[in-house]
Amino acid sequence: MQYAERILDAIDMETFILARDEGEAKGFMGRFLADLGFTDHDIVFLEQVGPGVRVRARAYIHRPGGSYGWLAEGDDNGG
Amino acid sequence: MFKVGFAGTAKNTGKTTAVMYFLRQANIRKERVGLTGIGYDGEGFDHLTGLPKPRVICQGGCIIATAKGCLGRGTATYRILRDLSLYNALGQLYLLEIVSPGEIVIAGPNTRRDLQCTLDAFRQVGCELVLVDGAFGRLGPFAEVDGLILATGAARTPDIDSLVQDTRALEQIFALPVANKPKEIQGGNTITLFLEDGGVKKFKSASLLSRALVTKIARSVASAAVVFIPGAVPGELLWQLYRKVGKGFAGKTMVFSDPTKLLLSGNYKKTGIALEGFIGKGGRVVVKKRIPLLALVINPFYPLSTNNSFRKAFINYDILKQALAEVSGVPVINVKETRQNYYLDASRREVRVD
Amino acid sequence: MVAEKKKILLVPLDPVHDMGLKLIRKALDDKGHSTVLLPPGMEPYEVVERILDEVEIDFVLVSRTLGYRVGELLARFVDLVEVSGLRDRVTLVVGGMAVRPELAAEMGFDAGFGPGTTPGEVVAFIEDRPFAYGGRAEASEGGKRDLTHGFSYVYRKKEIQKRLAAIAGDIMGWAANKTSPGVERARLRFQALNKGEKYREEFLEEYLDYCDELVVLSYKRKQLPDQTRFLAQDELHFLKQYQNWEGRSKAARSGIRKPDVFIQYGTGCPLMDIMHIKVCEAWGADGLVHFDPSGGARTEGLLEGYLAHGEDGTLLTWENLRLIKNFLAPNTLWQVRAHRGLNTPETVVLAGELGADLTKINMAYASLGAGMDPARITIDGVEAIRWAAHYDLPFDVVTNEELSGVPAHKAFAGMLIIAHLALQLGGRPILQPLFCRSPEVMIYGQMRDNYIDYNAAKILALQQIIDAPLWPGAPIGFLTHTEDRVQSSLTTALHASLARSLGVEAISIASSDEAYAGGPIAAASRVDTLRATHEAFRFFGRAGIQPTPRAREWSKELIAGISKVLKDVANSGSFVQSLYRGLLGGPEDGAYPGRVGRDTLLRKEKGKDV
Repeated sequence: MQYAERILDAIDMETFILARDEGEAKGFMGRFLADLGFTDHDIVFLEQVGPGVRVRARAYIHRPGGSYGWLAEGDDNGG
Repeated sequence: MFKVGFAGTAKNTGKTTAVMYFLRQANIRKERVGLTGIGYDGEGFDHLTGLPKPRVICQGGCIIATAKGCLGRGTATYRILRDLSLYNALGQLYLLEIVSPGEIVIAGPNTRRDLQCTLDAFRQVGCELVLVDGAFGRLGPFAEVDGLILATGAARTPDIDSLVQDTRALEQIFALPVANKPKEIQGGNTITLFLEDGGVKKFKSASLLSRALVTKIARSVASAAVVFIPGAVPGELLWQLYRKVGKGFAGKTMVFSDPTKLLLSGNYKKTGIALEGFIGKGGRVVVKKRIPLLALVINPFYPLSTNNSFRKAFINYDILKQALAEVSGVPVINVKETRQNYYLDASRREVRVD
Repeated sequence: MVAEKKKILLVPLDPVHDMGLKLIRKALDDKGHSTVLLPPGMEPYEVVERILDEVEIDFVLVSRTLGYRVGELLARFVDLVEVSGLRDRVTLVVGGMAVRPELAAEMGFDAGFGPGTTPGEVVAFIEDRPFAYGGRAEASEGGKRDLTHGFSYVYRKKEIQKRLAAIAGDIMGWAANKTSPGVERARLRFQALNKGEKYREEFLEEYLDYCDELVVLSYKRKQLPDQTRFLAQDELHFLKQYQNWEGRSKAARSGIRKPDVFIQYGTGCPLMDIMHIKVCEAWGADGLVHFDPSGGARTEGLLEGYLAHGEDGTLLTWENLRLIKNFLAPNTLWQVRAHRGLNTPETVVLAGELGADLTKINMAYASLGAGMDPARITIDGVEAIRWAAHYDLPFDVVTNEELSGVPAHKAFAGMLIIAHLALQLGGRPILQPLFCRSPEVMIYGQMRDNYIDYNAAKILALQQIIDAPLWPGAPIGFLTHTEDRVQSSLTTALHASLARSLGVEAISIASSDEAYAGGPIAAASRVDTLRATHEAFRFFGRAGIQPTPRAREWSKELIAGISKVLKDVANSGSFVQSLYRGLLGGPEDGAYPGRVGRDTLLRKEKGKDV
């Protein structure tokens, strides 16, 4: 995760998923984020229009008040 | 052609599972079988509760009536036999023949008249047996079928005693004799009292809609020979009518269109009590059309509601089955567990065991 | 056509009234329908009593937020209507949070409207007009729009008309005895398509004489160009589910019908195109432009089959176009552009035979901005216009040479020449000025303060010259986009709003990947700009964007400039020579006449080189 440490707070992923409905898309996206190794994630936005669902998913890397990986920036030379 | 409707006493009682069971049995027997539904089935989950629902799987040669909006949602391949020129909320209805087996999503005719047209189409393509999957809360279109299979179980109530009472009432409703005397088969589209003096008193409504209407009818019963209610007969209101008329019912006849009209409100117990009451006071209760109960299908599963979501729960199904079998004159089947082969016999018009 | 007036019972089965039902009632009343709104919280049986009491109710609209038990309640209501003998008399509709068509079907309603439904969609359903769940109803109100409808093509500047007539006369005279491989292929293609499969052998024998080696090999040896492949059966099969598909769509617009919003598709693969098309239609695109690869435009002859390749632009083949056409929603306008290559007339024949709604032709742009030899493209262009007239296919006259540095007045002069020629040949041209931050304005500063005035000036100038339809393109906002999706979507939406404010017929918009050159456009980027555009339309509504007085001053300068260029071209006595000599844009502007198809003209009848 050394690259991810440089992310200020969160990373958003926006896409269009072919899904029957928003529930299915939410499930797909959640599992996808988990597969990518993100443990703290949320589905910010879902809207089913057309053959699928517009999705904005978010993985939090550093929540405010947590410990910020980028504080240790110098140590690994930024990854 | 034998037209069989599958109804549930509540949501998630296992209608579609029962449909799938009898469809498989028909396939084994190589019958030309048709399948449609008056709701929406086959997508694998319930659109309201999000709980899993059975997929609908069809073999090659099966004839399906479903809406345009369902095509392409399944894995079965099909060819379109004809456009039925009927519509539901998912678009135009088509008659399909399954080419290669797979899943299919079904949303068929949503009114009695449309179901009748659809069943005609099944007949024209040579179906011997047609299964009509129900939708909970709706029995209206089932006035068109030749027999009903009722799914009941824990999803209606996890209380076995209560289920037994319900089942007893159902037996009673389905056992009502068919109208055969001249004065009983007179009709009309709305509630009608055929009076002792040969006169006729008509009401605007076909259904027993309100207490106010019950009161009006009760007032006129004394002079009536026959009370005909063609539409819905909610258990609670029928019971109210019984309470108001009571002994006054001696020697009079109550006529309903068919048993489904007595099931609509879902309050079977009240209906049963009222019917028993009418008969007990010396009245006669008949239906214009009998729709026999062919079997009870039981399901121990029920959705348990917890904090805005639902999860699966079960009751002891051995006890349930035994209890229901004691009060029921028709086969009581748990289609998921049974080792026997129950099937729908199109010529005898009943459920039989192989 | 006036819709039949209906009687509608509006039923808030919820304990409280919902606003949606009131808005729907207003929309229905406005259309002259008769409505009865019941108080909230009535019991289903009471509603049935009201249906019995009211005379001739045609529709019952129930609104209710769904929950587990509510589904049963609504299903029982439907059943009660049925067994009370009223079901065949009334159409039952349910609306509310969580309502989906599937649920409506499950509960036995004839239609279901969920969140995001506009009153207009409900009205469309009641008036039995085509609609899709959640949108497009208003877009479909009049069916497909003819962008040229109501335009007289009357000139308001007689001097300009006189000069255009002289130039068009010159072009027709010059072209009279010339033909080209492209012209001949179009003729053969037309014959083949109208004579059927039997004629194929005969067709190919002659057709391939006029084709490049690459095309000949593909027909004779099934040898496809690099990175090109046939679509597989399972890929085509996958699409079956989208045939006659009516998915959930976004409401397209609020109130004002114009402009139609076009997007360009051309991912390189017809299957991906169709998926993008379905996304775009659903998110409010009214029209689609088939974007073909530039390589194909420099090759004599068209390939055949369901072909995909890894480059920008989808190959023009009869099969590809027909496949795509089969998946378009009924009201989607479809443009197959023909404007810039060696296959221009043949492309118009394909478009016409397949029932496209629009094509795109401009010989001046093709020469100055797309690399075509002026002589060759003039011959092919004249023939393409004739075919367009034959099929009654309107076409836009695009002016993308502005992007090469040609100033607007020169580009417009070229556009007006082609438009006039089209009118002479019985065609229906649509003028397509660019809304762009062109090299011209970067040098001369017309956009130093704002992007509004100069774009508005272009529209005002053209409106003062001729009563013709206008379709800023293609896409609007050229050279204002960056790779940032917010910036890109916003600039598109603002340019679209300007176009709407100026009352044009149509616009073409880019995706938010417009400035990204590293790879294909993603579907989500198409959603970005469609969404932004419709949000901006919603924001501005009938309120317009007000240009400063500079716009009118610049429009006068533009008209004077156009007039001057047309005078020079008319005096030169040759449109084609004017292109070579740079009168419509030349080296001092950064534009050079192209070389593709040079020395390929043939003499008519004798089939000899010119």
